[in-house]
Amino acid sequence: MTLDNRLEQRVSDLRRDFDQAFARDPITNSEGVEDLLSVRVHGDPFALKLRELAGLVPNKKVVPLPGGGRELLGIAGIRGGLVPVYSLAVLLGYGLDVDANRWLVLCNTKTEPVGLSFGTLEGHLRLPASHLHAATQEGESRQHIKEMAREKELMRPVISISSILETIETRRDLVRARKEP
Amino acid sequence: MWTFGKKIAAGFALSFLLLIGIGGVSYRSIGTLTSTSYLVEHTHVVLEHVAEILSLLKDAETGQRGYVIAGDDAFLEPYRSALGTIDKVVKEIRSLTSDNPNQQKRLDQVEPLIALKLSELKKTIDLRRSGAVEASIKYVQGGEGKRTMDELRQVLAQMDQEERDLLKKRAEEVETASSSARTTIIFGTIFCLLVVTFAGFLLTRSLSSQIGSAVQHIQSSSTELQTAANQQVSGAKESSTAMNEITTTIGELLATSRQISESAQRVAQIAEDTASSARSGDQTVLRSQEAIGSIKRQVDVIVSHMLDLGKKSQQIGNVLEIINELAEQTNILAINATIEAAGAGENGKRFAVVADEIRKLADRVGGSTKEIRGLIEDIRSAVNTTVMATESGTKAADAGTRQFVEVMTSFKQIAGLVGTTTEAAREIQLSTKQQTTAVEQVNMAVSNVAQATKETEASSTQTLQTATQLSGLSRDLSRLVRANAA
Repeated sequence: MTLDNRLEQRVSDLRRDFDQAFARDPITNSEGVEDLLSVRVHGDPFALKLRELAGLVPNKKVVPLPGGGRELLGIAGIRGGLVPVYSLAVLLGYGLDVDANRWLVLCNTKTEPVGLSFGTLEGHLRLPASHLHAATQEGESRQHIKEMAREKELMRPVISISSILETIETRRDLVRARKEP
Repeated sequence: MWTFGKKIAAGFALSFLLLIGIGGVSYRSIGTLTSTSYLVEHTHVVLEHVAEILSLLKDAETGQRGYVIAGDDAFLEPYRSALGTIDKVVKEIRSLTSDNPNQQKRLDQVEPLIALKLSELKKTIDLRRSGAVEASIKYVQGGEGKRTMDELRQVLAQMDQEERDLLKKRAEEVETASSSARTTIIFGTIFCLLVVTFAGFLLTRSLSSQIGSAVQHIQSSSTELQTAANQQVSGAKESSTAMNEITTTIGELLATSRQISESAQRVAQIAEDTASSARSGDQTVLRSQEAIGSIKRQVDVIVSHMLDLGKKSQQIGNVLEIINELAEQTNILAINATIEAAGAGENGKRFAVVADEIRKLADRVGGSTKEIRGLIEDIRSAVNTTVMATESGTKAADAGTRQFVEVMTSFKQIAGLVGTTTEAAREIQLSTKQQTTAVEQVNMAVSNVAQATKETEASSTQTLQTATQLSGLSRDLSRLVRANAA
């Protein structure tokens, strides 16, 4: 098959998929699946559940702040507000990687949104719910990992945003407690 | 110095003289013996005749007495026989003893006595025949006849003695002559043998010395000749072999010369063709140079277009970066839309579908941009390669142009050199032909020499055989001359 033929075939496939997308039932189409964001932290694959996130922001300048924990990188201006940015690598137990903070995901807490910084975004990942397993069943004992997502032959640890946010809350309260006499 | 012939002739002459001497003496002795034997026989004849006379007289007397007694004529037969014979015998004796005066004197005495006796017998017979028997007997008894017979016997005895003395004398002469001859023959033979032996010894020694020395020289010379002949045969064989090799080599040289001549002719032809090709090549190079100039200009145009194509590709890449950026941002927006839709609950599901499709489109646009980027990179790489290749081609064309100039110069040099080569090839061809002719002449001369060498070899072999035979003959001759020489 020549290059021209391949290009024509691809355009035809794109057009057909685009048209069929509007023909499917959107409700049933989204049931029983889990939308994930596949990322890499310090080179290791991880996954984030989209329904636990509030947004994805690339290349935001982070202004460091004095004080705070090692995981707090600083603050960034997002959507007209200031959002504290934390290092996902540090929160997962890795060391601080300066060059690995190109992406931010926004998470909503009870009081304010926070940003979690990581190095590499691999893309959107939609898996059947049956491909998610509890982390203990797989023998995974890393912090903030409660589920594992099976993507073909690769097992991605699914980072628990709620666990991360709890840790952040706990540490922020601890810092505040230290500052107040 | 005496020659062998003179020496041998002298030896034979001496022997001949001695043999003549001995023969002469023997001949003379034999003559003496012969004459003496004749005389002896003569004496014996005389003695026989003397005895015959007495016998005839006795026969006559016997007949006379018988007739006287018997008166029968038959008894007269002896008388008549003696009467007819006795004169003849007396004459013979006289003839035989004519050289002896004594015997002639005695015959003079005998003849009257014989006549007297015969007369007495006749008288008695006549008496008897006449019948006077008594008278005849008395006449006989008178003794006259007996006396006559006694005288005759005495004279005949003297004659007999005379002859016997002569016989004895001649026997002594025979003995003397034979003894002399025997002595002469014995001593002469011994002397002759001694002389001949001595002469033979001297001759043998002289001849042995001279002939032996000569034979020795001959033997030595024949040995040297044999050695020389051997060397000559060996040399002739080597020469023959060498000449054969030379002939073969010259044959090969001749063939090679002919091949060289043919090759030189071909070289001359090829050189002429090459000169023609070089001239046409010069024109071809000129045309090629022009064609290369045209190619160079076309290549420059191609390079320019290629550079434009590279620039356009770069611009396409830049646009593609924008598209990719937009695709990423669209993807991010789609993800955020999905997040927002998830937060909207049931109402957001339709929006989530749209966001998902947008995200898929953004993903596919991103994949397509990656592919387009790879294609653009391929185009740019191909353009770069083409530009480099065309630049190399341009440089090669420049170099080719320069080389064509050099090629033209070289073609001119080649044409000049080919002309020189043609002349040289022609000279080689001419020289090779002359060389071929000379080699053919040499070949003929060498063939003649080889033939002469073969003949020399044959004659040397013959000489060797002759020398060998001569050596053998000289050894045989040496053995013949000196028994201890072997």
